[in-house]
Amino acid sequence: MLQSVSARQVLENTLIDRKSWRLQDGVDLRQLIDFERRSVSMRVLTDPEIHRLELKHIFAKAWIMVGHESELPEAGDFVVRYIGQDQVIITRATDGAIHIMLNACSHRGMEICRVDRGNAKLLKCPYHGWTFRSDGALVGAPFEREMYGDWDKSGYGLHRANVAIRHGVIFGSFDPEPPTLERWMGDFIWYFDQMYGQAEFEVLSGRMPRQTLKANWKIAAEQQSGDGYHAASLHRGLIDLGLYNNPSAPVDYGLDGLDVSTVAGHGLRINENAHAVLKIADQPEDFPIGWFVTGCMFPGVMVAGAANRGGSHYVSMALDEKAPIMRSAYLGTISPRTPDSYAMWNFLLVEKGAADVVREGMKKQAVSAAIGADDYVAWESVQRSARGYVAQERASLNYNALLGENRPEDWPGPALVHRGFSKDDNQWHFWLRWYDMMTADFA
Amino acid sequence: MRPNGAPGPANDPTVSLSLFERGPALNSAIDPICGEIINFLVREAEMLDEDFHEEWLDLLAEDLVYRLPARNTLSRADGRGYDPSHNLFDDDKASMRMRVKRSVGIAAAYDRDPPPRTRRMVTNIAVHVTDTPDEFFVTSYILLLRSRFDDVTMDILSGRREDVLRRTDAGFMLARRTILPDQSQFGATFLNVFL
Repeated sequence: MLQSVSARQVLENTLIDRKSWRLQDGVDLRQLIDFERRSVSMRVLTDPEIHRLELKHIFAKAWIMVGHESELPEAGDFVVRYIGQDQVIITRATDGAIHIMLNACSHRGMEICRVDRGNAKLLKCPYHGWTFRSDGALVGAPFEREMYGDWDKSGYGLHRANVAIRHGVIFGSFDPEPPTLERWMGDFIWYFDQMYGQAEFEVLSGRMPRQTLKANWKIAAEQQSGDGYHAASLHRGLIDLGLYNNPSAPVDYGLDGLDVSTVAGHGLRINENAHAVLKIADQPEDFPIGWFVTGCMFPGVMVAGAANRGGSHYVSMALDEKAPIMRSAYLGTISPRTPDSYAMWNFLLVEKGAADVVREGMKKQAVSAAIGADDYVAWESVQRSARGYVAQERASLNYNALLGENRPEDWPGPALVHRGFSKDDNQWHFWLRWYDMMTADFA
Repeated sequence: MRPNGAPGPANDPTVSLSLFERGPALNSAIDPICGEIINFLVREAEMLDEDFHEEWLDLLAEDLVYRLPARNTLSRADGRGYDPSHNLFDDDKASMRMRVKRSVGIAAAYDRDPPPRTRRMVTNIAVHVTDTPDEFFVTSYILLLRSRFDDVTMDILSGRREDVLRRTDAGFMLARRTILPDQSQFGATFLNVFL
């Protein structure tokens, strides 16, 4: 079996000589990533051409999380979300199927749904009245015979995305022929299943507010895929708030753990004994919380929550009245808006049948707001630095520390495993995948 | 529902009473309590704007319920769009202490140091009596402007507040606050700002 160093180097060797796009000022995208130093030019955070290339080669290709089935219980239910910068309607048809389609009338482009969610068996565009079925097919227009005679409506349906659902999580892809979701996720899928497949979840609230940040989407996504290293410094406040069990041991701030990376660019960090690290109110020492996981499924699906230790015992949230916040399952999805900003949808998942006290506890945001506040400061600040010409030309994001793979013998999961001090392995894989997708046309 | 439409502390503090359910507001020209309450809100706003967050904690009752529900864009027929199933703030006094400590009580609060410059405009104040003698249901509009670093434009948050203010020997205390936001999408950096 190949060790991860080989897997990473194999990927790098594929990419290192690959031709790439030439930007308008003559710079090749290839010049913006340095495989020897493992650094990426800050220009990638602000360049509008690069942004558009990302929308084309990444966001119009990848499987993007857009919602959860439990948000659409009834036929005719719909929500409006985003894939990349495109607004999409997600519907539940009368036959139970889920559909995803562009929220732009195929006639003259008006948004068909101008609310966040609702219920409508048929979707009618306000502009000229063109009417669509839940699967996006055009079924009628006002004065149809007068206007169009005996016409073929089949070419005038809404632009549809492919749909894949796993554990109720809805993904959409505008790739005309995407790989299956399973193939796209690759080895990451085992971890995804640990986190979201051990019970039947529903969205605690199907109407999560969007948050925006004045930062390029990649700043958030790449940090979420790994970066245990920042915890001691940026989240130092958590120490002062008394939220860590062992504040005298820096390695217990979450720097020590298990990083999982993949050549597909998905990455996550696991604290294997989460309650030994973070203090959780009213929780007994031997509570089998298992892992606490944070990660990012490329390009921007954020995962977080507790997972059991490989399938042997999952503790039902519904039975435990003292379930702490840490046991919420979380999903987030990032959507780029401009090179300088992104929007994020946050979903909290709760096990179906969970007691009210568990649901109420999960709604408390004080701790997550405290942690998030630190990250947002850093991310917006990176974006501010990237405004300048010199930063864009000469400054870079650096990934000059790799742990390499050192899978423990008894580790039950697949993918590339880095056990120990959290280094830059996951994040470097994010950028390898980024370059890989951006230059796929040249492969 | 009370005869004059105002909630007492026993009622669900997150229920938003519409204008027509609320009953008439006190006339500030007749009831001196209105002036006292206005003074309280003015002072509270300045405390927060001038970074006296720990002192602000002392204005919060021990049984505080402080909420900020999400806001969605819905068809007119589907309601005003407030969604208490997800609250950006869902706090009691203890969690508010933690938030304030996180904001100003620790060395490494990078989002609060340097402190943002805020200005809270509190307007459209209406005071209603409740069934509890020393408790008042107070509504107000809040417009928060924020400037950070070398921003040219101000960030804005706006909403309507529904408070229960309780008169005690130590002055007024905030027992309940529900902030009903106007925005369905926030800058994430507003998550630790107190309205």
